[in-house]
Amino acid sequence: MPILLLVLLPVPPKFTGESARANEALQQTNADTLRAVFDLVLAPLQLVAQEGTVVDCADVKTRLCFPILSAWIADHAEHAALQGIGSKSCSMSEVPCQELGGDRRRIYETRD
Amino acid sequence: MRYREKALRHEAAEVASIAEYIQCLGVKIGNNVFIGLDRVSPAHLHKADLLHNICLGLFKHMMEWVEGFLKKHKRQQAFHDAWEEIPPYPGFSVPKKAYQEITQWQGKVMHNLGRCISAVLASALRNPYSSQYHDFKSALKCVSALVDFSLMAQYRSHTPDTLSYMESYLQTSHWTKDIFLEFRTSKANSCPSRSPGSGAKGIKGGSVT
Repeated sequence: MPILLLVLLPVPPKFTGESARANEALQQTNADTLRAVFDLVLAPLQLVAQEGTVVDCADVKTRLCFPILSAWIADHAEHAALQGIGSKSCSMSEVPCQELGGDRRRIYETRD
Repeated sequence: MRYREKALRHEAAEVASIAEYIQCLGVKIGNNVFIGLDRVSPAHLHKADLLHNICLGLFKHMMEWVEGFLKKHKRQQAFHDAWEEIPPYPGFSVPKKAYQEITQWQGKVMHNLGRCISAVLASALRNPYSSQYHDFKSALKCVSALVDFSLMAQYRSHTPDTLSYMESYLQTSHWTKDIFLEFRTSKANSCPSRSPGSGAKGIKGGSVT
């Protein structure tokens, strides 16, 4: 499996703890920075994702293909930070944290 | 996004504000870096993987329980002695540090631990008193089932048979993990009784996630 290093994500500074407002502002700055980095990294893919690209297939035909971001390998804490959800929230469905591990037959709405 | 539509309907949910409604859904406003990207569905990006779910997730929890169990039964020294006596074997790297000296459990160390923990624990729990026999047997069964599950999870392809083996190992671990209940801090307070059914119910909140 080929692996291509695209970018090293920035490590945000620690919260100062001076005031809740300062921490909130820093948190927003961190989120904006991360968003800007993601826009930059995924920009080449976004153009192709909108318009598609012609790919030569093994059956000698050419097809218009659209790349889909199918997985993001990370632990739950990283997913929570990237997706802007609480640390006790599920990244896939809208199950309340109190009901995690509860009724396995119950189906919750998917986050979108 | 759909959260905006939901927020507009927040009155029906009888909550005070839009922010509170969004908070109920476990979402922080405006921080999702994947929103707005074409061909990206944030909910489907999470995929189970060996490093995060097995090595740093399942094994990490399991070792916290095992440490508590060994401490309760005063078998820590026996465990440490057995850990240091592990012989080299082709394809297996002998731990360079004593168990208690490892402060950072990285994926590779945890992966290695999965290959020897069953034998080390069995050695540490040998010669039990009659009162300890049942507890030791259950603990070994639970750990062995989790190790078997993790070993089969490393297969590069599966058949219905291998998947059913994995299911049975997972079931066995859930039916026997009650022996560790008092060492599972998140569950010990909420589950005062050790009933057989409580094990299977705690699957997501306890070990797997």
